[in-house]
Amino acid sequence: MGTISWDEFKAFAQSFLTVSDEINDGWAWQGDQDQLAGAFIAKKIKQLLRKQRSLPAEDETDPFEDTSCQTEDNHIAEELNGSQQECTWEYHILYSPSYATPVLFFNVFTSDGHLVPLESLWKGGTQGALQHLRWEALSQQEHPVLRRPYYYLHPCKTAELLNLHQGSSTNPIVTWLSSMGPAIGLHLDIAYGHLVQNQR
Amino acid sequence: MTDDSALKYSPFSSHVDPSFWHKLSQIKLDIDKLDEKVHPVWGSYTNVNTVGLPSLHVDCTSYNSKFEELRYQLPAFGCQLNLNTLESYKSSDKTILLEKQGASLWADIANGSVLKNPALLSRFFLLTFGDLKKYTFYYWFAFLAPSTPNVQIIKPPALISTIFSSAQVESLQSEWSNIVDVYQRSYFIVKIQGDQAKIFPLSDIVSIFKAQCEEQWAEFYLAFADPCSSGDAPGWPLRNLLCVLAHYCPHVVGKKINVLSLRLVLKSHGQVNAADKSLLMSVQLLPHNETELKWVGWERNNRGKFGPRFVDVSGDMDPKKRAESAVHLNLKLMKWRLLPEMDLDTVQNTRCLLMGAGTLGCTVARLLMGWGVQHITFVDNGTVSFSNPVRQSLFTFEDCLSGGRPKAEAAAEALKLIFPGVITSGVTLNIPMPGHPVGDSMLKETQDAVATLEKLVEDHDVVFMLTDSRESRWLPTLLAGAKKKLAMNAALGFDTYLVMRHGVFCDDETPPDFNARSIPGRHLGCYFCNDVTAPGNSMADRTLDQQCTVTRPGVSAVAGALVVELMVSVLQHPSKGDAPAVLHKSTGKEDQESVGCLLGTVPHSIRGFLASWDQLTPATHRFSNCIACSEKVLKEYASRGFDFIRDVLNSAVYLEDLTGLTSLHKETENADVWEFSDSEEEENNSE
Repeated sequence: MGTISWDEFKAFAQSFLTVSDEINDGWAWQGDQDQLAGAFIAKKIKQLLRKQRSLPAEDETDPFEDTSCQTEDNHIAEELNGSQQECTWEYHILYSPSYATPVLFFNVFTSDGHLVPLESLWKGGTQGALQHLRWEALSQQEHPVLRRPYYYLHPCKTAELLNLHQGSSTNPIVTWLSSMGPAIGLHLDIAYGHLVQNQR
Repeated sequence: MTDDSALKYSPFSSHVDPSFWHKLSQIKLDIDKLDEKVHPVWGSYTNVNTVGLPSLHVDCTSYNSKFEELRYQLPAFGCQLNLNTLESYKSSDKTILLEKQGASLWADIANGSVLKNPALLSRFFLLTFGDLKKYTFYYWFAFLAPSTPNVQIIKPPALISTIFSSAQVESLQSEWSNIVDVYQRSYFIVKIQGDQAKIFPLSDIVSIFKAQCEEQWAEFYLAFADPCSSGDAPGWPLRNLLCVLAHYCPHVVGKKINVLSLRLVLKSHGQVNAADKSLLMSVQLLPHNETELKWVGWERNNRGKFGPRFVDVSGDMDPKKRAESAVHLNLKLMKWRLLPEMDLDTVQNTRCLLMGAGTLGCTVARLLMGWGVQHITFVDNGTVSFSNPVRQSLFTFEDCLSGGRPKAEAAAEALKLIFPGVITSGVTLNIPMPGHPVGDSMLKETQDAVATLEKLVEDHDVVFMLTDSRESRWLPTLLAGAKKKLAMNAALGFDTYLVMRHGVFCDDETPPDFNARSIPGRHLGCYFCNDVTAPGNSMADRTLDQQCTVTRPGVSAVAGALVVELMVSVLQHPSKGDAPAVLHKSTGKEDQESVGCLLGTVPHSIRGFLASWDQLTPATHRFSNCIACSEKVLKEYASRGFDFIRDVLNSAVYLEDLTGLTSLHKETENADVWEFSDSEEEENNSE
């Protein structure tokens, strides 16, 4: 056991969102909730990384540079975070109809809309726990709703995990996400804890 | 005016969601086509819980007609011009483009539209060129702002809490949160009255700042939602806001204006200190001439230059690349999850030559692709016939029409349809066979065929023998042996199969140890080693049912799968083709030799019998009198080349004489002790 229906998923996700709204955690519904597994809850986190690109040498010319645009403008403040590169981590919690469990899809992209390859994430070592996942359940798939490639944590072990907490968890999404999420940089706020408090 | 007192703004930095490129491509391909259209696009930014640079986002919802309202996201009005060619991108006059956008923003300011809809002040322009075949984009954002009025700081930015009481800050935060209309949230006016902060819409700017005396607006703050999270510099939106003030209330020029930059750090409901990071400052506008307004705002690229940014998203969007990475990821998962030591690269870089594009050839090719093998070449002499597609998984009914397409070519094309990343081709030729005499008319063609095959074997790493007759395997066996390539063999009977790897010879002259428990690859036999007759014309005396494939349909799939898996096991063994084959399965505990490679043992051959569902894995030594792989044959080929081959083709007994089989036959006749089961003969009728 440890499985849930689509309607249950929606209800659990909804109470999850209620907490998210209270603490401004940024989760929101996307997609069509009237369709089986047609909607999911999503969140984005911006992360600063050290810039990998080295600055061009002074004499290096940019073939596309347009100096005519360089209108005298001395009203621009110096960039504070100039040496850092920004990455966005995007997390989606979907419902897997075949496993009848929640399933986590995610992507990491730079500010130009380029996906960061999994290998770089591993090499980067910014998410140490990600290392462990490479042996387990991480792969790339077409997002079932958005039809674009996303990384995802395979749900084959989710039901098993949820089964362990059967009866003690009143919100399987929280139980599951709090154990899987940290591996990919997703840490749940303690406020979600009251959703899984033992009601026995 | 010293530089220090001039007000400076933190510029926006652009953030493009991957979905924006997907949507842009779709719109270009399906709707715009060759039109160089200007599209209105939505951008969004926020002043709540911001991290890093003040950023303006675009994503797939940017093209929606209505702004996609997400919590605390503020709308920005943009225009996107998507150009058709890189040349027009380069040659377009960026200054004129920006002036045009500026004129439109100025019109909105001058005609009062921005007073009704202040969000119109958050304005950007996006110039793009996308190479939709390569999935690369050039893009350049401009966050529009007028170059004047110049503004001087009177009172430098200070944290709001140093001036406002906490009750006032709290009141400000809740008043702002209560603004229902998202278009009124970016620019507004704040008044402090006792403990209360009161918010007025931007449209009140004229009535509030109409007074001639600055004392009368001393309690008012010109306010904006600031996308900038840190530092003293207010965010870019303030620039346009001050321009509006200068236009509607020109008399404020030179006077003190209070400015409020609203920055929120919201962690929970009812949090009281969320607006603590907001800034207060006082500034003074300097006179400027509206008719000479210039527009600025082009974003610098990653190199710090005024020029477009470039992004290659082919890895995420090009379906061919996606297929490739998906195939490889799938295999890597096997490595990651189960076999960390697995050497996938060797498998994927192995160039495979498939002799035969029939039931076995089709199955083997598909499975090789499953393993990520990128280089597959077919050799076949036939055309696709109507009986083929149901058994030969690379063909369809269409391939049979108009006489049938050449099999090798059709198979290669089918592979590309399945996986475009594969490097494949089909070579249509007759494999010269012993006992099929070559007349003068065929001499040239035969010579060419041999030369082609020699080149093909040379250019590949593994030769698969998957043809439908025994004698067609002779030349490939000889060539693979001579060039020391791994040869893999699969042959079918009606309900039996033989899958084997040939020995890969090395120059080591050490004689085999016949008492050892295993046989190293260099001493393993070939397909012909267990036969004591040279291959003749097996087609000559056969009935139609014997010439065609008469096997249970599943047999070829089983044998095709085993021959591929056996190759992979050989390649995973540290000794590769020299991997030892165990003679007798160990009865006791497994030692290193019997374990083989990380995938398990590496047998010499696998013989299967569907009638009894049995499978054996016998191993045999190289036969010193073998007509295909013995020293004598290889030496003869090395010294005489095609002349030797022609002699073999012309006479079936030539090989038997050469290798000493003839005398062996005589000896055995005399001894009269050996009996040969004719079950071996079933393999002759194979495909």
